[in-house]
Amino acid sequence: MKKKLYRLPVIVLFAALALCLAACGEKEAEPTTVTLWHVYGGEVTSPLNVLVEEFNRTVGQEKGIRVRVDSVSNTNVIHESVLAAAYDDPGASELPDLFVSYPKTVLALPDENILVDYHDYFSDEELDAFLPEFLEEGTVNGRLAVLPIAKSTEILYVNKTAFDRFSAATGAALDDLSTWEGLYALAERYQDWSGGKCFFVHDYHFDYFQVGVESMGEDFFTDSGLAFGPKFAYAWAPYARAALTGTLWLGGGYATEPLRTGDAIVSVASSASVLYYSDVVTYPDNSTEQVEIISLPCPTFEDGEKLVMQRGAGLCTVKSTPAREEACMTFLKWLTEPKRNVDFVTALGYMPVTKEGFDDYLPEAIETLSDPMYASLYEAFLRTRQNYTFYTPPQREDYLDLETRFEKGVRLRLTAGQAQYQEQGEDALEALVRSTLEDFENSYGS
Amino acid sequence: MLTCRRRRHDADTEHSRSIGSRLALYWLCMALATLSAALFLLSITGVLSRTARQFGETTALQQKNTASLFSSQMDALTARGIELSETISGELESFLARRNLPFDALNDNPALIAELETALVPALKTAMEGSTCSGVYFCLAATANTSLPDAETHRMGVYLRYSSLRSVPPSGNTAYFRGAVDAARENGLQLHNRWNPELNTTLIPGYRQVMAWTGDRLSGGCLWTERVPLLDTWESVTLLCVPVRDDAGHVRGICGMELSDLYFSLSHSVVSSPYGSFVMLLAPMNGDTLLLDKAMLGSTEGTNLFPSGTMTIKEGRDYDTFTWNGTTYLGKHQVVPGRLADGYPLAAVTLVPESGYRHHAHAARISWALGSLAFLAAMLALTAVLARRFAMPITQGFEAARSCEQDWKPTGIREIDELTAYFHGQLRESRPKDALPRQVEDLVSKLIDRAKGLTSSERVILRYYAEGYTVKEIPELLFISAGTVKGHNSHIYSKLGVDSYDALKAYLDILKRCGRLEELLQGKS
Repeated sequence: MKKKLYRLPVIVLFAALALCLAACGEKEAEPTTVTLWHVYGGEVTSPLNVLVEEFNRTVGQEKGIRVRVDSVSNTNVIHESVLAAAYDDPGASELPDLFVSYPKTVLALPDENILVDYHDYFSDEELDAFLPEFLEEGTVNGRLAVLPIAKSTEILYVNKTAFDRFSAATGAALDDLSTWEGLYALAERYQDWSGGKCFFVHDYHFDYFQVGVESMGEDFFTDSGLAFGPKFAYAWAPYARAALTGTLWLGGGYATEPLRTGDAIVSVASSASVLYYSDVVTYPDNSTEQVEIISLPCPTFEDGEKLVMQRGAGLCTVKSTPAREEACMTFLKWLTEPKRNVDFVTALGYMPVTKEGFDDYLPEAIETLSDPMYASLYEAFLRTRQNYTFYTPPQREDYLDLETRFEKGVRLRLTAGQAQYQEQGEDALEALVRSTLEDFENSYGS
Repeated sequence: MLTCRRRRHDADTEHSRSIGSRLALYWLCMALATLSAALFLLSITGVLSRTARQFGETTALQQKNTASLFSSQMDALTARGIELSETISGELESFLARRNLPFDALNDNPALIAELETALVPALKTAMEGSTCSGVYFCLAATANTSLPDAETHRMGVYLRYSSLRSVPPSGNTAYFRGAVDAARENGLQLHNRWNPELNTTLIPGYRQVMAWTGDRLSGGCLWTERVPLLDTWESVTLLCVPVRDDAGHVRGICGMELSDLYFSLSHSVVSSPYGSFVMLLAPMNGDTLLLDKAMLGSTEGTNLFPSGTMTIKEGRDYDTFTWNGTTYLGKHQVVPGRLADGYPLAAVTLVPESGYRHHAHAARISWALGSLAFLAAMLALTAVLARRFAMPITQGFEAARSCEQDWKPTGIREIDELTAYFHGQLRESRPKDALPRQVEDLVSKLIDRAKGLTSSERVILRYYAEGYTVKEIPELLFISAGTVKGHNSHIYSKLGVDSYDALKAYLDILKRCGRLEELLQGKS
């Protein structure tokens, strides 16, 4: 009887407890937010931002993932910021979950293990879909740390409207721009015709010499630095001549700038910089001119192999929590789906990174390009792929240092030489060509 | 002897406790159990947890911080903008005075414009570096080429802004968004990828208002634009517009600061709380609607919020409810000082997704429920213990009274012991002098009960035993075999619960003495 008396309150208590526990609702999970630093767009409209928004609205919404773009800049800025964060410099930003990077940034990290190895997240079948040479470039010390998402090369951009005026007056031909020797000859004629204006600007002086020297069969690098061999001197001479006389632009900034202001009419730049070229030139009196910007394969030396720089940063993922890493992988796999990858790269002047994208979707996409600048670019790119060999820079820990010192040093030396040329005149030109090379080699070090 | 025993029991009773205190404790436990049951019911319904009020207080505090943050940022930028306006005014006047030129001489003179802009770039850079903003600009009512079709809406000026912004304070590069190329090159600034030499005033809401302002103090002419897209870029900005005047007080242009959506987002991170992440917004308000497509949003990490559409507000007692895109948020809002170009008031808003609040409310409710449930269980257990201890002495007392034992153990409760002693005495007095001791009485009664199960033959044999006959004599008396007698004996012993003839004889003797032998032999009670 006693047991029966106790049984009822115990049952009631357990029922109440069960009621309480059942009433515990699960908190609606907050979306996992992952941050991204990229370079696709810079200060202009960014096709990648549009894709990010599409992801957030669709797959992201479904899986509780939100990608947030925290910075759109350039690889140099990202490189500095990533290293500052990795080295814990005062005032450094926190590392994002995803950032665009070249392998040189990974090599410069104090500990590359802060980045995921994509082999751990992509199956063999998934990785096999990528072009193997692109994966190889993103493999650093055996770890696939840089996932390719877009590839570019160097292209010659020409303000054809201005060139046509020049051509009509002097007989200059676009074909003359297929070699460096021809380009420098045209530059001299342009300067005479235009009353001293600059003709040409190159975004990457380091690449001009690296690819040029290698194309002529000489090593550009030594174990400890640069070789500065005979072919280097050969490449230096016309280049320095053009710089000292003012027909090669030595100002800072990207090549798009002098083309926008009419201060130059030919440039060599990354195929990806098509996003920043404008078909409008604005002159100091605010007048504007609609122009036609065309693309041609990058010039080569007459005695050199048809060699051209291949580049293209990829995306690195910073190790964090399993949920965030998984969120990053979901986004990356979505982004690199072949058709989507092709739609993305053709809006930016890049090449796709998957076999299926290249073979099946790219030809079709090129036919649908409405912007004549992009259409011209992809024609030039396909000609480059057909006739040129792509040059991949070596993975050296000191690559970035060598490049930065070179770019800065060569501009300074030649700017100083330009001032001397303006003082001393035409007779001093050849001597200055030689002396600037010596000064540069000495100040740069071997 | 009885008196001695009574005295001893009296002595024990003196040291006993009263039943009243135990009863009081029992009732207290019952009352507390009832109270905890009531608490449990109230906690299930959420009345006790007061989550709404607590949330309201937390939100109000956070909102106060948000409004203060926004107000102080806008005030600081406005003060800086006024300072910049005065600097530009002064530089403009001295620039023109040195050349003995009127203001209109700037028109159609690109070289002069470039010279003026070159001179003003350092002031802009200083203003930008010392302010919590993402850009700074000025434009003056002059243009490099009045013959161009859009000359009416294009104005000379310089607009600097941070590019590659990824943290606050800003550590990005300064890009030259608008202005003469020569001014950029003289100051070592890189052209923005979407650079233009002049500003398009149609893209600055409020330009006309500020240019038309006639007032005394510059602060009266300041206003903020709503968030507008920055032409050809992926960013949106809100601009502070401050009049730039000449010495005569005529407005010659505007200047101000830029707050980009990226900069705003980096400047105002979410604030974590038990209810989720608090998000801060600065939005134009149209009645009970926030214009989110024109709003500046702080970091929205952990939410799906983005600057699009409108958000309706429903004011509540402890907090306001905001609905956007089918999702509900809870928080507070208030108007902050700051004139907007389109005339809408600006609201500082602090909010959190409703799901976070609901989860917290549930958790609070569950805590109260479990707490009151645990207390209820404890009280019920205590009352059970007390009840048992309350009833047991009573039972013991009556047992003792019934047993008529000489020495019964007191319970320690005065009232029960007194009652027991009284009944014990009464029972002993009413009992006959020759009555059997109780234990014997019980034994006899049980034997008689068991005897009811004997057969007639077994009774016959039992009677012969009661008359003094031995086992050996039974076969001859009843004309049966010894084995049969043995069998009957075995049944008799088993049924009566004895284990031998001698034990049976002893019982028969006792029954005879107490005059109940016939009851046994006949099987009657």
